[in-house]
Amino acid sequence: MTEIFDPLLRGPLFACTLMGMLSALIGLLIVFQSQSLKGEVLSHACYPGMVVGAIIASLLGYESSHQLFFVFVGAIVSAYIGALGIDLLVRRWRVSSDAALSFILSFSFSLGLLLVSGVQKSYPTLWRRLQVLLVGQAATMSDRYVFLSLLLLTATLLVAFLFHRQIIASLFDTTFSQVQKLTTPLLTRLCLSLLVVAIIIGIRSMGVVLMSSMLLFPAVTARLLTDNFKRLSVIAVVIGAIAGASGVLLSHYVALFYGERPLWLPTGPLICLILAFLFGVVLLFSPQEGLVIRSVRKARFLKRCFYENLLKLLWKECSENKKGVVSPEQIMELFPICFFRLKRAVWRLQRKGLLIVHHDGALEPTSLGLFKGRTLVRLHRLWELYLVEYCHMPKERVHPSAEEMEHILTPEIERTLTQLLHNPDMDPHNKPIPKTLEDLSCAVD
Amino acid sequence: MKKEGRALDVQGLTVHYGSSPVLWDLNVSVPEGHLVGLIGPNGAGKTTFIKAILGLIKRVSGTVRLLGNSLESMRRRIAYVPQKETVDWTFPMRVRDLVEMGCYPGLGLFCPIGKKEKIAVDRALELLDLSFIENEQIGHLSGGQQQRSFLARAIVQDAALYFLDEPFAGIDQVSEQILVDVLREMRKQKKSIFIVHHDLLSAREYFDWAVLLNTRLIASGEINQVFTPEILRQTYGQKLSLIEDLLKISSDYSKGHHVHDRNL
Repeated sequence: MTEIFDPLLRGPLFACTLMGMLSALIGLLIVFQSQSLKGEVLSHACYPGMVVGAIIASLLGYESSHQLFFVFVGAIVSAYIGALGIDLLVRRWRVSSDAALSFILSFSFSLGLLLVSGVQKSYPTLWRRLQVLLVGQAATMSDRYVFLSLLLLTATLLVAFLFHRQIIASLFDTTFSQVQKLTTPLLTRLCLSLLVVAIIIGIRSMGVVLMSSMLLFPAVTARLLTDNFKRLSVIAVVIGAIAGASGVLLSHYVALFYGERPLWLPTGPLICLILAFLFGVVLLFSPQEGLVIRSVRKARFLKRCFYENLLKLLWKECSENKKGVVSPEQIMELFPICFFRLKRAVWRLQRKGLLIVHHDGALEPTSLGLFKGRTLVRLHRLWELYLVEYCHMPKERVHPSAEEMEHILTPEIERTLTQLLHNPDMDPHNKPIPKTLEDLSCAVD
Repeated sequence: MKKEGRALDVQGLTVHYGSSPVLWDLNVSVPEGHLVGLIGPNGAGKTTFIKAILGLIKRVSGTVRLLGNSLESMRRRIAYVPQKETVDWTFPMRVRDLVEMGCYPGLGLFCPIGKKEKIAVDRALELLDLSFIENEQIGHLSGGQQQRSFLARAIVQDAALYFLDEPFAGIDQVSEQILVDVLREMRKQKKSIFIVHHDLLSAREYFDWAVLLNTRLIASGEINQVFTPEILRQTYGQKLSLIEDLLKISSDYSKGHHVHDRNL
């Protein structure tokens, strides 16, 4: 564990973890404003400014470690110009907002690329340093970045704690917060500045191209896990931290593991892939709407329908047609099903105490099984009658719908239907509708 | 006419969208304590009218007084219910959180939501028959339930003036009845309620005051006095084409746009 404090690892590890938390938190602002592209655009808009800043700094003869300030100022200026450009395009010249965003994105990116290639021959060392901006280079981040990220994270958390109500209200319903003057222009500008500064610092580790993934993925992933905004923020921050830390650690240990001929995995793309991986995991395994749990629920429902159909058939044969018992062969004639599936179903129903298997193989439903089957038939026929009487459907077309509804109708709806149809005796096909137990016991009295 | 006792007093209100005027020289004055229908055909500027009153859209000219005061001094006593399509209902929020938003304006930075606010929220949920779904995510609600939660939020705000934009559009019968009952109850408490509405049939039943708009003011008054065939024909029937076209062309000239010579 002491390796964590190894100066080579310490800087990148803590910086990326804090960066992950910071950008996840800030990212909520753009994701829930439905402005997800904004992060991507702002990070690209920073690019030409950073390049110009770095060029000016080296022309003035500053050391590389002192260039940070120039790069920072350049980035802020050009991000501001980019944001202004979008605003002008959309408000003044009525360009649609996604067109305006892509316009600014590609414009500033190509401007930056041109500037960088301009110094390739004349200043090769500067050129190499500028390449870092494109895909980021977390491995060379110093403690300075840790402090910067920590400072910014603290500031952002402070704003989030103080103004969470105002921010949530204006994210959800802008006009409400405008009419009530919940947000001031100052708060809006503060949030935008925090976003821009977070992007600029993030570019050092993620690069211009991948930065927006740090902003968007945690929020989008957390959205799958909860409907509560505050809980969602916490989850997003945790995801950001996990991705940041594990990206750095993975990159570091893979390089160590390969020893002699090291395999360098760049941290930025790794973090991005880890975020995508986490999203995939949540998509599959989220406890409410995950794909796995949904397919399990679906399979369970289909199985229940199958058993219920079998019980219905047993009741019809044994009770309505007064046969008493049915053989598996008879069932398979009426019900297209493979022998093994039937065998398994019979075993399950037997274990649930819904039917008895005689030693000659004949099946006899227990009273509980008969009750369940009768209820299903009752629901089926009630629903058919309802469709014909109340929805005026032709009676030859109501069967498929009733086949579905008999598995879904609850006792409350059954009661409503019974009342609505005045406890009917016959269904539209002139078959008797089985009575409920209460009706039967009344009849005995 | 005395200025006191006037819920809304608008003088010379003009609003432009781009180069064409949506509202032109409106003078409206409505006394306090009425359930007011803002009525007119599509594109008549009903929503714009409300937005201009609430400062959500810049007005070219005109003054607005609310209960005799300026908008700025009245913000805490105004509740606005936007069209329900204007917000993203997939937002991670429960019904209760949405209704609770109504007490945000009155709460200071460091004040948590206290007992008083909780009671107000419970009462509003109860009133609009939403208590049984207070923990649902707002996206799972029906259109009518969404509209009801919006009104519940407005009720928690405990305002004096309410502005509702098309609350009856696309909602079920049950919700409509609940909304109407609650709104009538609010009028009894001397609240002034302005509602954008486009259905003429139900308007006469719901409102006791009507403001009929079509770019300019057609009529404003007690519903029985303004719901005459003549005034309704003016509102819906004849298009006010000459004045509208000329206003558009005049503004095109003054802004240097290309002027089409149609209509001239």
